[in-house]
Amino acid sequence: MNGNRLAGLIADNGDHDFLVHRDIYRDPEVFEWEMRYIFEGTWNLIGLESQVPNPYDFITAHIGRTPVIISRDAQGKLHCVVNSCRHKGALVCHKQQGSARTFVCQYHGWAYDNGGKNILIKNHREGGYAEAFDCQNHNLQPVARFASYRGVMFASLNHDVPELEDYLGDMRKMIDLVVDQSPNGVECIAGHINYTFNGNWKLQLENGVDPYHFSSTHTSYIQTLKRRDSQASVYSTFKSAELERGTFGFAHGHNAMWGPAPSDKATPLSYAREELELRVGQTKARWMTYVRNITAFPNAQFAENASLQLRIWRPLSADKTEMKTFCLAPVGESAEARRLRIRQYEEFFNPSGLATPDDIANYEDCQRGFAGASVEWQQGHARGATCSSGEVPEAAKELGITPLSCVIGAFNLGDETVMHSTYRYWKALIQKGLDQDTSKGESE
Amino acid sequence: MILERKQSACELVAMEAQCLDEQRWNDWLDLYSEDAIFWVPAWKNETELTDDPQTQLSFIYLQGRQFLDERIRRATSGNSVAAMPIPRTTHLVTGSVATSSDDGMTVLVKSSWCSHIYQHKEVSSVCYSGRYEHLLQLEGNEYRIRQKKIVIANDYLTSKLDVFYI
Repeated sequence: MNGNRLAGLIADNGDHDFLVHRDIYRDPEVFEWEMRYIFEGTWNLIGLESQVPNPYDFITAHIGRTPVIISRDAQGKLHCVVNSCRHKGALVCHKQQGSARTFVCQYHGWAYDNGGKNILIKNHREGGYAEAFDCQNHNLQPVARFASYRGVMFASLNHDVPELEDYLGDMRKMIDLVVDQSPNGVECIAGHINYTFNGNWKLQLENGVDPYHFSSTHTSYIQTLKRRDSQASVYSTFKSAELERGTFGFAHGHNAMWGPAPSDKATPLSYAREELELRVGQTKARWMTYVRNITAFPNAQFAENASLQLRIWRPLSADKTEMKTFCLAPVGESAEARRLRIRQYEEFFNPSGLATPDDIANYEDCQRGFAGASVEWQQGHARGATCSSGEVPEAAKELGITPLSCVIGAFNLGDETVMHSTYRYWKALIQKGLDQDTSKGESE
Repeated sequence: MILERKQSACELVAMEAQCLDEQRWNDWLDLYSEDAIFWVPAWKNETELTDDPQTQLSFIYLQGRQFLDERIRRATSGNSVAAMPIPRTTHLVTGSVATSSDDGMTVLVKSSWCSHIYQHKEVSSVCYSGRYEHLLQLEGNEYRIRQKKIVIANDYLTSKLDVFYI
């Protein structure tokens, strides 16, 4: 029954005839599947190790609907545990970030060490507990899987997932282009920018790798930059038709959009070009200066253009999404480059800047347009259908990757087929979850 | 004399809110000196604000009136869907207390504010609130805003924010 419903949401007759049903953005039942089988069913990007650099440091986050603590213990080992006291369920950590040797539940006083190990059950001796209770594990519950790839932390609430390295596959090379920007990796610049928008999370997922929207959505941004004479920016010489753009679709839902920057004069990374070329080689250094947006499916994107952003989203309902955004920077970059990075970040990426508010307004307009069920199918995944590279293009070869799909062309091509492999995986994960639940139901 | 100066400084702060709410954009821009700084710091965590815009992130950090002008042009250009149609705002500014330098060349006005932003397509208002610090400087016979620092208490934003919202 559910399987039939799912089959009717992605009409996949190959890249030339691929349709996405609007119910995937508006139906609460689909949202429930997504939470159970995707966000709570596979690896999520939860942050950077550099956010918890020292023993006892912690940050809090969510995996799907589950609140978690990511902490570094006295020995420097990282832990990811559910932020919920084993006694009655209250949160034991109340802050976004900090440093703490213990987490003490304020409700009944149970205490845990920084790694989540229970160190106190208040008035244990007087409690008249039966032996059965003492046989239970009272530690904060660790997540099912927790691993890092080069300082980027991922966690899964489901045991049944591939090893992280296999899950990421070729995406690792795209993450390398971020974390190799300095010999000491990347860090989050201080300052929290978090917000919600009234739209489905997949509007952000799609927009992040959508080159087609730029010239129309960001008209006012492009005009503003053109009027400036002094402060050149990566988009100030924006000549859309002359720019090449490419997309990669990877296994497990990941994808990427990339292309040479319109100008490399004004990017913060250009200050370190020589050092980069020496350390990582010409090819990788060139790729680092490209405009690149990459999706770590299902919940995060790195976006590099005039600056570098990590965005982590959390769906709150079919029509509401939380965004946590971070300005990333190579550790130890020059003060001048850092200043430029911050200003260009605020201007482009902030929800109080000159570009992102227009993206958000579009997501919200789409969600309004989805209301009711009058229109069934999107026409938004068709551009580029005839442009797929039959073989692995040079751009992929030089990175040493073999994506599932590659489309390379003029900027105005505006490829949309990059989402096909993502939606195929989206569907496969939900299908797998529904099948497992069905067989579980039958065996019970 | 000093009392008068303090009064006129507080009046300027109230006037600014009026200009924004009445969408008298040129009058609003005229309140700022040419090299004015418009700063909305981000929070580092629940209790600490960022304090150095050159090394830490702000919601908005603009150095020069021309960048405020840019924001207004963009919002009124008809090319930014985020301002389509442009929201209506109601700024409530209260508790303004002015401190003057001895020579009266600069006055610091601290206030509390909240602003209701009515968004037409949402058919509802968003409310932001916090504290203002206006640093005013005498230019000829008039004070102009040399720096405006806006602290936002509810920094978990509802969708978006622009200079005239707050």
